[in-house]
Amino acid sequence: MISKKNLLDFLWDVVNEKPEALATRSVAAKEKNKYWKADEWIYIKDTEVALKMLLKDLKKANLTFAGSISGVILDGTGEEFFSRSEWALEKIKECRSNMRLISNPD
Amino acid sequence: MVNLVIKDIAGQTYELTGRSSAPRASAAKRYSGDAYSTFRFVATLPLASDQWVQILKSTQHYLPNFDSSNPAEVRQAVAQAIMRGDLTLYQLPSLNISHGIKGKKGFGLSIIKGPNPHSATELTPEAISSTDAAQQLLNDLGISTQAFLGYLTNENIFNGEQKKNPLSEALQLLASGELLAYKIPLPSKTPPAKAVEYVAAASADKPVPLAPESNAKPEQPKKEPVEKIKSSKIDDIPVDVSNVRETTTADGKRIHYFKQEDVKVKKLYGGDEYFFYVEHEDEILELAYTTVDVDESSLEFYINNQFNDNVLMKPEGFGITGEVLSQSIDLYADDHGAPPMHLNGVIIKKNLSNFQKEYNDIRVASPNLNEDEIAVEAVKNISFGRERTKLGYSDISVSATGKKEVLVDGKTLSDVPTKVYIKAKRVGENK
Repeated sequence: MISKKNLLDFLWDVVNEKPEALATRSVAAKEKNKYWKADEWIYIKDTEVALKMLLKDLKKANLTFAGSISGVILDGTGEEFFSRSEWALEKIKECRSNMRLISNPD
Repeated sequence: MVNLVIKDIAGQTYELTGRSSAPRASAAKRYSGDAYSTFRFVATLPLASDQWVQILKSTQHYLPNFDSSNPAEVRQAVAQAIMRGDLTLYQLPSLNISHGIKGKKGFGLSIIKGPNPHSATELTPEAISSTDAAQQLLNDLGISTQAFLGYLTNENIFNGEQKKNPLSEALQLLASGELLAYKIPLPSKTPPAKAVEYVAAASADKPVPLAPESNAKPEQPKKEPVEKIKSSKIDDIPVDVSNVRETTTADGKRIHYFKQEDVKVKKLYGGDEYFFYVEHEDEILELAYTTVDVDESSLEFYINNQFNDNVLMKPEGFGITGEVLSQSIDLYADDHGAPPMHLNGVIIKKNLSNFQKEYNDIRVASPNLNEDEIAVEAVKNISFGRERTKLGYSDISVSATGKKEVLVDGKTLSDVPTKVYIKAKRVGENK
């Protein structure tokens, strides 16, 4: 399984619709337990959706986040970029909580 | 004598009777609540103050002094009349497929208690004179024994668990008229083979409807048609049901109402995930994701009515969970030749909180049950379990771990599971 850091950066690329990430996401959907444990899909999906909502929120505000999303979620680096929106901070918290629950290595 | 049928803005119907009248429908369930909840409930009914005043006067019982031009005082007087028993409200079952069993030929069945039929429908119950005729009806609609019995249990109108021959007894109830079956047309949908495309996970892709494309503009809050209360006894009470539905929640979220035919689905990742959503103007409003595990013959769901910031998704006349589960099962069956064997999944968020509350309550109420039994009972009591049971996935087992203290709705629950994995296996035919 991939690390939590790589997983978050990968999912951020997926929600940003980067072609390479989308192709890998298709593979991940088929390859059970390779990218995440199959029975932990809900936490992955919840994270993916939270990131998608985070991106929607930024787009509505005409903002672009150029930092590392895994840094924001795993150690709070750059979190202040999102502090204008309580909704965004809530989504970050949800991602953080999911990362604590999944079996992917740190 | 008061005997009225009231239809609220969500389509739910009620019978309102006076002290000496019984409800006309056998399936009517009496409303009961404390004074405050009754007042709140009355406030949800779409009757104007002057209409309530006429109803109160027609009860010919004692009326307290109240200002008939003040809606709150009028509702208070109505609530008091209900508490005294001068008026009684009965909820009528919904005759739609969300509360029925889906059949395979464009129809489903909604079954209610008889012998007196539903008092607020133009549908007539199926004429069933024998158990053979009852069985024939199920056969004609392609409804399995398991789905039939599971539905009756779920609707709380027949429990076959302790019966020697539950099917025979249930069919007998239909033949004797103690249960009445209504044939309900299923909402039309485009055949999945044509309607569903394999698409990449890009939000810009063209959506694929589950129902025929509509030429209508994206949904706006619509005015309901004005209806009149049906009354067999006092026809001189005109009651307009105008559109008074809420457009925002108490905490300021926009409520987005949508209909069954507005729900669309895309297959993602070559059919390994299904994505359910509703379109609104240029926006995609997410509803649910389903992941497909062909090896395990299982579907898992992620359903949420609050995906988007400040928007609450509200279905009209159907349930999101039931719809997503049914549509996903149909898509899976079309792709893989049979419905999935399992609807498994981990519960999170509201589902998890509901489970934890139930778990805590059952543990207190039934100290003789072991942990596994408590967990299974708790799952059966939450919508996650109920919806699965309704669809025939009633063999439920639970792995509940990570016990700790949690806060649910302001209440501290000690030593309840925080990681809950549920297996729901299909029982009955077509294994």
